Amino acid sequence: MSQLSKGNLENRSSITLPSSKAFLSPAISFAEKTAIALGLDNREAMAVTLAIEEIFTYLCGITFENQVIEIIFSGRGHYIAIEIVFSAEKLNIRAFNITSAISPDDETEMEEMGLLIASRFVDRLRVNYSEDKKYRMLLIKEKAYPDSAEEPVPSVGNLDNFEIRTPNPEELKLLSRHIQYHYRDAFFPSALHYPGKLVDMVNGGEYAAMIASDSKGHIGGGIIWHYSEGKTVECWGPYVFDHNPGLGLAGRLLEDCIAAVAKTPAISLLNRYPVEEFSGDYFELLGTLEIADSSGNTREIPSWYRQLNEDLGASIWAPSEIEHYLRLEYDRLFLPREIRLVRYDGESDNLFSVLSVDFDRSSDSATMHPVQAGRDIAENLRNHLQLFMKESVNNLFFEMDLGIYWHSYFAPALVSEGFIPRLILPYGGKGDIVVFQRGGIPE
Amino acid sequence: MTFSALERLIPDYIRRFEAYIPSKPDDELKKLYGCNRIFRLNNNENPLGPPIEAQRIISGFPPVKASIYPSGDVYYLRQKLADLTGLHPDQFLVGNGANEVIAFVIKAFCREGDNIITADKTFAVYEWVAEFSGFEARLAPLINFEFDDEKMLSMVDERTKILFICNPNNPTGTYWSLDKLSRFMDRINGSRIVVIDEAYFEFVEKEDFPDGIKLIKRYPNLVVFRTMSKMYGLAGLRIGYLAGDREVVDVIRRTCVVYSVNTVAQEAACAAIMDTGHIEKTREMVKRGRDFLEKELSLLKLPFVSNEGNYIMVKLPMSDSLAYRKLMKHGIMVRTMTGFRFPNYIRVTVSHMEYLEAFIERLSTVINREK
Repeated sequence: MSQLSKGNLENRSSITLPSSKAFLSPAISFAEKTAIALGLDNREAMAVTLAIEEIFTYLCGITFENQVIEIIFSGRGHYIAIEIVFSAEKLNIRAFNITSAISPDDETEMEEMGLLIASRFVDRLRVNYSEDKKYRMLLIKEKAYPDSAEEPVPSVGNLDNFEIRTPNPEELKLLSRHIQYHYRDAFFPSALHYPGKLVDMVNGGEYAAMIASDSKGHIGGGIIWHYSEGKTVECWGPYVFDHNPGLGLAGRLLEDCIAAVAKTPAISLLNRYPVEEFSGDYFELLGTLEIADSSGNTREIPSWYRQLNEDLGASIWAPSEIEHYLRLEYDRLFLPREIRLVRYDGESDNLFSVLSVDFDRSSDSATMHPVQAGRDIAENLRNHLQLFMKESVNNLFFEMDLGIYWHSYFAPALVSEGFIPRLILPYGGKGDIVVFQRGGIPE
Repeated sequence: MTFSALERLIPDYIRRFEAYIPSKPDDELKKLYGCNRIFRLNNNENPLGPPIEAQRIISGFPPVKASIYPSGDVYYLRQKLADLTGLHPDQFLVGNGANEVIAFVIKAFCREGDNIITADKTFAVYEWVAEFSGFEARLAPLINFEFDDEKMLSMVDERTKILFICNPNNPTGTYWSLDKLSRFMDRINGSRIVVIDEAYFEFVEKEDFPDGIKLIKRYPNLVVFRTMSKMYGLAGLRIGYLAGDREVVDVIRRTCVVYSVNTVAQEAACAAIMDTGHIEKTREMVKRGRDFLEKELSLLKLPFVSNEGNYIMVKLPMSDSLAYRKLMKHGIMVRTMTGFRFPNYIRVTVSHMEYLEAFIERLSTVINREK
């Protein structure tokens, strides 16, 4: 969940239950009623309820005696987040790999089947082990919204003068429709296809928007930004619908966006969907990613970055496989970093590794994030690649957080599977994030 | 062992707030950026240091006096300030830097639901202190780089307690004249506390620039901030003060932390304020430096905002934070202005000519422009 969200609209409800199957029924009842109260429809609420049922049942079998399981629901506008906090003696979270194969002959693995089922009832699932020796499982279930691409878009008119301001909900919906109409060939996040979703995203506090509007209410342009995880804000735009060159709309939208986030805890501002009106004068080029469409045509997508404050320097953990790349990039970006190389010295480790995957259907891409390192990293990565090939996902990425030492353990397997470091997102996670892209379409 | 109750103990307004992280010490910065010197053009410090007599007091401070508590209410400095201004010593409150007295005023007058009003692009501490204390900070946009009196007045409501005006404004250097300030005070009509922050008062030579302390008798709701950190070169000792009507200061004193100003700072400040020659020397240095910077920045075709104070704001054709990192590689430290809501601007302290020449030389490389 965002640490940077500006709104205060979070609806939160939680229940703490003993880790005993006798309490399964209250857990289910709580999940169902809360999901509906937080705005999910019956179908979505049922999916969440089933996920909770599977997870609670599984956790009852693996948690310590006399332990409790805390289930926290939070409504964040366009999605609900469910955090499940528990202590576990042993937790084989391998089942959370989307590629996890369950053998019906093995009773232990059958138990884990529930986790697998649960992971597929929700849109995103992450598991973390925190310093207080507790597991925190985060489930995200997004609300469904109607598409309105076919609805007419009012004319922009000619803006003689304008002010940059925060839009009301109806203006936000108009902004979404204008973006779809005027930027139909541009690359923008799928969320912008749904006007109602954009309104909920902004009302939820993790997103914000500004429009350029004249005294008659015409919308000449807009910019949207997202307080994402860590200390990064990502902006989309500036979208300009009135191309009167004397107005300087694009520059003003960018400046006002930067000024709006300047005094938040954010450290960096990203733009990964630059449009024609975007000005590099305010940003630095981090690198490019190659995005292939279903026909195999590729295009280069630049990632632009702006640091919001003076860099204080940092130490990062890095695998030797990308040390040379990191030194060159940090030098090019003038980022002071102390590189600490990580290597495996035969110490004991987990049997199984875990990866979580974020799919973005609009860009036909999948991004993997490490959840746990283990002895089967190479095999696990290969299994994921096979699945992506089967699913015809063309663009494969892996995000390695250089603030977390064990993320480096994935580097040898990544390199051997043809992944190349393409760009560094400074302060993108606990530390800087290196985005790897697999060269070419998986064979 | 973890402190599991911590989360629920944190008030919402603190949860939203992020701690200010100051820059690292010079030696650490040199290591980080691989440079062998630091020219500090970031904090508007006076490179001449404190006045000579203050320097003598600092270097001659008997170590054994460090074991004795300082004067809790900064007795002698208040006496001297009273002598110089004609006010009563009890009309002054001295703090551990002017930042501390900002907190005293807000704590004294604001309670839950109250608000303060200031500008959006000014010294950030008024806004910060209000917000991390749980009060709303209403921000009036600058107009032509200047505080907008009409907009500020339009934002006042029944829960407004304090209006903060930075005069001259940091970082734009613009100021309200005596006439403008008086008109503003007349319209406030004693209904709210008005704070005039005069951190850069001693740098201004303009005839129409108001001396806030002289207006206190006429406007008892006026509180004036001054600092010893800028003109008097005592930033490292942390000492600043406020002046106001005796009844107002009596109220603020109730929130004041006593013994927060150390003995060296008190004694050095007493000496510093008596040295008018230091002000003249500093003003001459700033004038020479400002003329140089204005000429060189014009040759580089860079827009700049140069008014009062010992600083100039420069607009760059690139991200200010990137320019900061590139300049730091060569040991030149400026202040990025994104945090002041001026994207792509940097603020440069008008300092020694050697520093300014090095800055201009590096800047032309960073922006890749020939003069």
